[in-house]
Amino acid sequence: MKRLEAWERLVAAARRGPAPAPDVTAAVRSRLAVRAAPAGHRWPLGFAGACASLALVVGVLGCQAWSALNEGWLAWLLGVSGGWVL
Amino acid sequence: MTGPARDIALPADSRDAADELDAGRAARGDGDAFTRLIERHQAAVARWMWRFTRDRDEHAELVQEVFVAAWESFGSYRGDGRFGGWLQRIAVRTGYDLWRRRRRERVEFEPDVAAVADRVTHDPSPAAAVEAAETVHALLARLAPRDRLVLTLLHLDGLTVDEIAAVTGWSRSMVKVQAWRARGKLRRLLEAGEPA
Repeated sequence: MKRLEAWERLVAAARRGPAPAPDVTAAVRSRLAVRAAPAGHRWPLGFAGACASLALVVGVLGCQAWSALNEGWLAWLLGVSGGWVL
Repeated sequence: MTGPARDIALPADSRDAADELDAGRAARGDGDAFTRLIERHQAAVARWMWRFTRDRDEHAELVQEVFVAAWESFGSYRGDGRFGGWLQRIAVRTGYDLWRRRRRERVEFEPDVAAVADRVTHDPSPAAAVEAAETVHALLARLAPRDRLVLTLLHLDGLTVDEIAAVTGWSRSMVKVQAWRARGKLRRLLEAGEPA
């Protein structure tokens, strides 16, 4: 019982205790700015990666078109393997 | 790095109106309106989160997490209650998640409840209040997160059963049952250390 009474006195004193008051405005704004860019739309390899991917897509599409026009087996193979890599 | 929070003092009515206006704007993506909300509420959030950790760095991190979670939850903000109440629900969930991730804390000392209570009862100094708060925190850290949460909200924040139900999302009867169980565990914890 002694400890239960002591607990109540402790809680009453603890409620008076001061809390730190950090200014988090800048930190929160900074974190939100980082999160604002949708993660799914970022290029994992940066600008060079984006250019390389674009070149690959254009190349594959070109091969497919050439294949469709000429029915060449090499172009067809390149197109299929390029599509598989993508 | 975080500096001390500015205290934004407004009368309660105009503060609620300003909150409602800024929350509506923030929900539509207005970052400046959200900054004003942070400035008005960060001192209260800091007080709430100090119940969940006594580590200053972790505390600052938790306060930030509450506002980041609020920004990401504006889709669920209906504007039909006080913004502070909505923010408190997020704060309680953030703190509770911290406790659940960590499970029971390893307390580094065995608090002598009676001795500390005797020391701080008639001492109005902030240092005595800090000592009392540290002791209470160390004792509650020995309980499961759910017991700890209900006792913290009841005893330290002085919330009613209805208010606890509102901030936790539990039903009123669940709050009562949880509080009854948690008090029993606390009593056993206190009696275990009581001298014969």
